[in-house]
Amino acid sequence: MTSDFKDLILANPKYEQCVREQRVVAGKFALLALLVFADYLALLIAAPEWMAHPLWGGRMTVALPVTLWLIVFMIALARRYAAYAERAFDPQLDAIFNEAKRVF
Amino acid sequence: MAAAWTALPVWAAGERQPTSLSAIAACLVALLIALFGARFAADRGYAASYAHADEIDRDGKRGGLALTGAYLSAAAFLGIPALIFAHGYDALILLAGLVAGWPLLALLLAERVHNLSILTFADAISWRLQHPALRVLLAISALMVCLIYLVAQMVGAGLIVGFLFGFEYWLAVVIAGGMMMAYTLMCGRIAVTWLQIVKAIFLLVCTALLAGLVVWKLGFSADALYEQALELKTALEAGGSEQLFEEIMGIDTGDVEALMLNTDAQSDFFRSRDPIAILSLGLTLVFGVLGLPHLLMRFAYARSARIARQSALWAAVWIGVFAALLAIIGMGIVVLNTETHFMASFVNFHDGGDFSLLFLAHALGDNIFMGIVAAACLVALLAVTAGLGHAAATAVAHDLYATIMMQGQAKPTSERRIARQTIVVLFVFAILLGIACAGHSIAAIVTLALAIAASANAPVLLMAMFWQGCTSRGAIAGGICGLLIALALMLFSPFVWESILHQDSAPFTYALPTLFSMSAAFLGIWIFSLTDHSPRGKWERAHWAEQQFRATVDLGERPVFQDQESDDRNQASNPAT
Repeated sequence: MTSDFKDLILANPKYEQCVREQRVVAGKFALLALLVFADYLALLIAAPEWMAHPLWGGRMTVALPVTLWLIVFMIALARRYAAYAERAFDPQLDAIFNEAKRVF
Repeated sequence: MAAAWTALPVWAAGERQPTSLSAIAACLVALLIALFGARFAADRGYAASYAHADEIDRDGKRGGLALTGAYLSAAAFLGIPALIFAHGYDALILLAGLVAGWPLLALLLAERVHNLSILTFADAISWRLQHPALRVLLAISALMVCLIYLVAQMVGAGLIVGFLFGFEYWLAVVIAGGMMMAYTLMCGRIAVTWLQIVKAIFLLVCTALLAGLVVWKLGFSADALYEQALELKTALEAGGSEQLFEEIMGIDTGDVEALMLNTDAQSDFFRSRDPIAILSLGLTLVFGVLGLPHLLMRFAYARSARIARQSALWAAVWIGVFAALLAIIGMGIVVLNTETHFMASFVNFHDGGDFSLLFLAHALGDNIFMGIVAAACLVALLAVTAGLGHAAATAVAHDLYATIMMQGQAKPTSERRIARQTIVVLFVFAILLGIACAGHSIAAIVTLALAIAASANAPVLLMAMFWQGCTSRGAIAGGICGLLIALALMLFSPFVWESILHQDSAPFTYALPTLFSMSAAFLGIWIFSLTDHSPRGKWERAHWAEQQFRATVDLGERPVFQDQESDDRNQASNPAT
């Protein structure tokens, strides 16, 4: 791919905007995933008794539903980002690409 | 209840006998179906090439399954339930960590690594940081990760094959390891990818069945089972069976209570109440995934950056589902194994404990189901070892031989020869180390591999992708810091120093080095990059914008790998040449 084509894409103000938005969204989601996992670790460190508290008088402890919640959260986060990327980011980038190809 | 125990071989007494024929038959049938399924699907056959962009990852769902298949190893399937059984719900952190790294991998790295690399993640880093020494370092750390990861798979394979067929452990490792090596040598990327897809489906179905059976069984009688387990414990404490226990098993009953009600059990490896240990384990699990060479390599093969991203996002879903099911299974193991297979499980707790899942399958669905679950484990092992073997072979043949030694002028035949030789040497080492690691927890060994990936690969990759100031000098210094500190602290950790090397008290008291080694790597990269005023460093900083552009925009069809390509691209992107 020649540098002319690259310059055409870079010259499009929509490109910068679209890529910046994607980076912000991906960064936010990644930070959220890290924060939630850090919270989980913090719970294990700071409140092990609470995590080991038995539920319903049986052998199940609070840690089990908390872990399941974290897993479901991560799945939801992945699907949410997939939805964003497919709805907003991919079509925008395609449009910029097609525009540049037409000119090129 | 007693009948259930006697149906299982008594390992501690030194007897090795095959389990029931029905279990072996069920295992072999399931194994053959899975292997032929993969073989049939790979209609392009055993293309004996190790490195060609394949056409399988056509959509994200399929690519996601392949990634899931590459990632979920015996460590997850056998090791985590074993640790939950041994240490109670303390081990749940492993399940959380199994999933937590995946959104990060998908969001931060999938597209970038695809757009910037040809075959390996070292390509992506070397796009801008082109110093040859960095590539050598990355290849070495990729090899270390693959080797340790393989050792864990060998231990798992030895346990299952030995258990099913009654072989001695070392013989089982040699047989299973030899077969895995043959499979890895025979299969090209396509066959391995299909095997990984078939394996992911097989594993998910097996896990769902196990979890369903656990819920069905516990739903009726969780309290009753718990009461029975308590009764058994009381009976043991009251004496009578205690002496019998000691005589037959040769085990001190002093720690029976710790095992029976293992809520307070402190593990040697996963000392979960210590803040530094928890932090290290958490960092290992999350950042380890970001540095695993066999996963990052899959992104390079995807058809487009979009598919690489979708694959990683789908893999996050499948792995999440797997982890959730495993949590339910863990609950079943804690309640059911203490009841039905208390004695057998106790014996095997001292054998590394990695049989807990098989015993649970036996408790839930008798020999045939146990055989099928064992087959799922073997297919999982085969798929992961093949993926690891290819990743290591590519690191040596592509990164070291073709790119560094031959300056991109290597003949494809000689590159392929080097790849095969790498696979043979690597598997021989893995088999020997696997024999040396007899009886150690599979999950613990895999965690060591993840710790190296998190200490050496992940910091270099993340800094190269996200920090303009990062230069080759910094990446090399930081990478060496991370790798050496991780290896040294691991050597002196209780797990390696005391359990494997049988030395006296370990100088380093924590099981995992990651908190220290990963911080050292990041710090090293930062300091040595900041102080880098060389022309190379300036050139690398000046090409940051270009790398950002290339990392975001997938410029059309992926170039098909040829030996010439990497050289051409280096020249094209390097105005100095």
